[in-house]
Order: sequence, then C-alpha cells, then structure tokens
Amino acid sequence: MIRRIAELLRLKTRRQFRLTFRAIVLTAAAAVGFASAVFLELHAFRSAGLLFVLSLVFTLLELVVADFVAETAYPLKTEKQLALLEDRLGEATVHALTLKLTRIISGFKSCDHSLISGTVHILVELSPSAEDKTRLGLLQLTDYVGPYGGSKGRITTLEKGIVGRCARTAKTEYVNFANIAQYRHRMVQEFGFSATETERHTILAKSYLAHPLVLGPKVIGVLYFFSTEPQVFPHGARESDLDSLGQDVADLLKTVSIV
Amino acid sequence: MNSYGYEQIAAEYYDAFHKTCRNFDVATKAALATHPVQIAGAGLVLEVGCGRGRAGEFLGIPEERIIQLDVTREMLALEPREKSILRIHADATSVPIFDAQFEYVVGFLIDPFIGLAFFAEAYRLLKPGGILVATTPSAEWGFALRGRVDADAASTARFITKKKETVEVPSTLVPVRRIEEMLLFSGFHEIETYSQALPAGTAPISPDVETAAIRARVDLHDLPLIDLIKAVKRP
Repeated sequence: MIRRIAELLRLKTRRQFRLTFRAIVLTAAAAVGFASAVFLELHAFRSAGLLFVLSLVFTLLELVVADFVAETAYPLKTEKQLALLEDRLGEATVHALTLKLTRIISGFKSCDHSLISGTVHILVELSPSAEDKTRLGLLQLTDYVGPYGGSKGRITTLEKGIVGRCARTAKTEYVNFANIAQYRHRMVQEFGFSATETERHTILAKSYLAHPLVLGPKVIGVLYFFSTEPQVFPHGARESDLDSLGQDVADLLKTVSIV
Repeated sequence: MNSYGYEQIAAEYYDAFHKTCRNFDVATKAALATHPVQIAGAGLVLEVGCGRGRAGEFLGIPEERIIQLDVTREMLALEPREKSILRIHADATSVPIFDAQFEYVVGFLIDPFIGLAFFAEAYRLLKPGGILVATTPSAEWGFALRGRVDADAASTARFITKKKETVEVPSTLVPVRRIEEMLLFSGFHEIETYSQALPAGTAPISPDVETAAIRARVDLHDLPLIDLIKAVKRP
C-alpha cells in the first residue's frame, strides 16, 4: 500500500520518498501525541492509551517499514548510479541532446512537428532483485522535447513498453493506436504494462517510434518519439536519418562518459 | 477489448436518425456528380472501411470486382449490404494482401484511418497506374464543430445513439493541404482534391452541420463538408 501511495504521489527517488514519508508520519505522530495529551488532561486514560499505541505504530512505520520499502522500491545502488549520471551529464550535454532531439523531430516528414515529443533513454544496470541477479533498465536521460511527456529520471524495465522492446530487439519499433480504448488494451496485452501504469502515461498519443542507439555491437539506449497525430510513424521517419542522428547522440553520450 | 467504437453503432449507422452521416452521403453524391470518377472496365477494387458497401452505389462498380474490407466485424456483417466477391476483416493500414493487386482502392469517409500509414498501404496495394478514390469529412467543417484546442478532438468523433448513449470513434481531421502532402510523400501523383459543401435543398440538415456553419460564420451551403480525393500510383 505504501508503494501504491508513493506511485500516486509520483515520488521518483529514494530521497523524495523518505522525506515525504517522514513528513507524513511525523505530522500524524504529532497530531496523535497532542490528542493523547488532551485525553490525559481529561482523564480519559483508555483513549489516551490507544492513541499512545497509535503513536508507537507511527514510530514503527518510520523506523522500520519505511526503510524496508525504500530499500526495495528505491535501491541505494541504483540511486547512486543515477546521481552519478546526472553529475556527468551536465547542463551543456543536456542542451546538446535537446538540440539534437529537436533536429530529429524537425526532420520527420509529412506530419505536424508541433505535436511530436521526444526523449533519450539509456540502458542502466539496476540493483539485482530476488528473481534476477542482473537486471537492466532504461533511464530517461532528458526532459521531453515537445508538448507532452514527463520529466527526466523515469526508469522502466526492459520488459515494458515500446522502448523496452526496442532495447531488446535492437531494431526500430513503432506502434499506432486508433483511439484511447485501443491504447489501453494493447499497452496491457502487448507492452507489459498494468492497467494502472497505463493510466499514468500520456494517453492522447497515437503514434510511437523507438530507435536503438548503438555503439559497436551493443545497444546503449533508445531514442523515443510519440505524436498525438495518428499514423506519423514509421512512414514519417527515414531510417537513414534516424541512424545518422542516433549515432550523433550515441557519440555524444560516449564523449561525456555516460555510456 | 480492442474496440474501435463502430461495433456499438453498426446496427444504426445507416439509419436516417444519424443526420450528419446522411448529409455526408448527399455531399458525396454531389461531389462525384461534379467531379466524376471514370472506372476502367477491368481489375479488382478494394473498398476500405466499407461498412455495408458503397462502391456500387457511389461509383457504379459491379459486385464481381469488389473486395470489401473493414476492421469492425459488425460493420462487415451488416445486412442488407452491397454484394462483393470477398469480405476481409482487417485494418486498412495493415491489409493482409500481397502488393499491387488492385486497380482501385476506394473508401467513403476514411476519417477513422486516414493518415500516412493508410496512404502508404493504399499505394502498396494498387497496381502501377492504379487509382485511390476517397472521401473524408472536411477539416474546415470538423474543426469548426469540434474545436482545435483539444488534441483528442482532432482525432475523435462522438455519435449519439438512438438510446441517447455517447459513442466515441476514431475520426481524424486532416486539412486538404496536408492530405495532398501526405499523398505526395507516399508516392502518389496526379493528386486532385475537391471540397464539397452540403447542396442547397438538402433536408433534413444535421444540427452538427448548422452549428459548424454558425461557428465558422459562413452559410451552411458554403461550408466544405467533405473532401473528395483522387490520386494515381505512378505507372
């Protein structure tokens, strides 16, 4: 349940989660403590006792449960890796990536460029889980260029979405949805998302494209674009343009030691 | 459910109750009367988004040349319907037929699937020299009615059923200039587009047509209601 609340509050990092959780629990504990004191003054010892027990529960939540959830949902190793990437990336590189994304979008043919959003995801190693010793994920490296989409820092696993599929197949992947009902259906049936996760995405988008970023024989990341205009991809994008601009992005990431 | 919405309105889609659709029919006939399409004497015709079939009614194509295609099973099962040699249940942007099989690809009101993917697919399916003939609701009418603000409004139409239920269906509005650009990009040439307003004397007139004309501040018989598209695959 705590994880669900964290998802609803869009807490992306361990630090955000811990600070938010601490603030909530301390506020609740203070309120309960105050109420307990009031009941003591009124000689309502049973109610005061119950509230005291409740304050102990809050303490337990903060000292034990929150740490456990933080460790499983926001592994420290992954968090450190993300912080390191942010430091290495720097403002100049983010600016250069944004310009390259804008250039790629303006090169798409026969479509409304103002309706297209894009970003870069890179392959990162996540902390091992009980099921997987080596686990790869995709980290959204930049804020979206364009009208829609969230901010950088989002991590998805390789099993999910068109971005994950692209990283697995090392090929350009695309998908088009005729309407929102079809989007909801196919994201769950074909792209590994839960119905709840699907609702958190930009459901207005109709056409998606993911192009692998390759260095040598290895996929190092994914260029990701979507448009609210139907059927833009794959026909609006030339594979050769994506290859050449994708290589620019991959080289830039290599230069700044991101990959 | 992989729903397109049309399955919910298939049974009543062709009823007089849906005045906007019937106004589209009148405009389509008027457009084809003004800009007739000469159908050559042989070869297969693919009718995309066929519903109960209109290729015979609008273009006089004999049933033994027509293959009907629709993504909605309920639309393909409608009776009474125009006869054809085959009915295919498939998406018009991904047709399970080999390249260059048709002399004509025709579609009446292709707004549920209009776009680069459809034009590219039509091009693939046509023989060299083959012709695409299609109509789609005019963007001038549609944007006046739906507004331009909401991204979803540009690609969704709403039907009110006889039971007063609202059904949303995919319906993309594309301005004529963009349609021409897409056709050119897909490889077509000899591209012709014509806009057709609702002819004078049409009755009844849909409130959606009247409302759009008021919002666009033009006479409703001057407001383009449908666009007729003709394009040829390079020989």
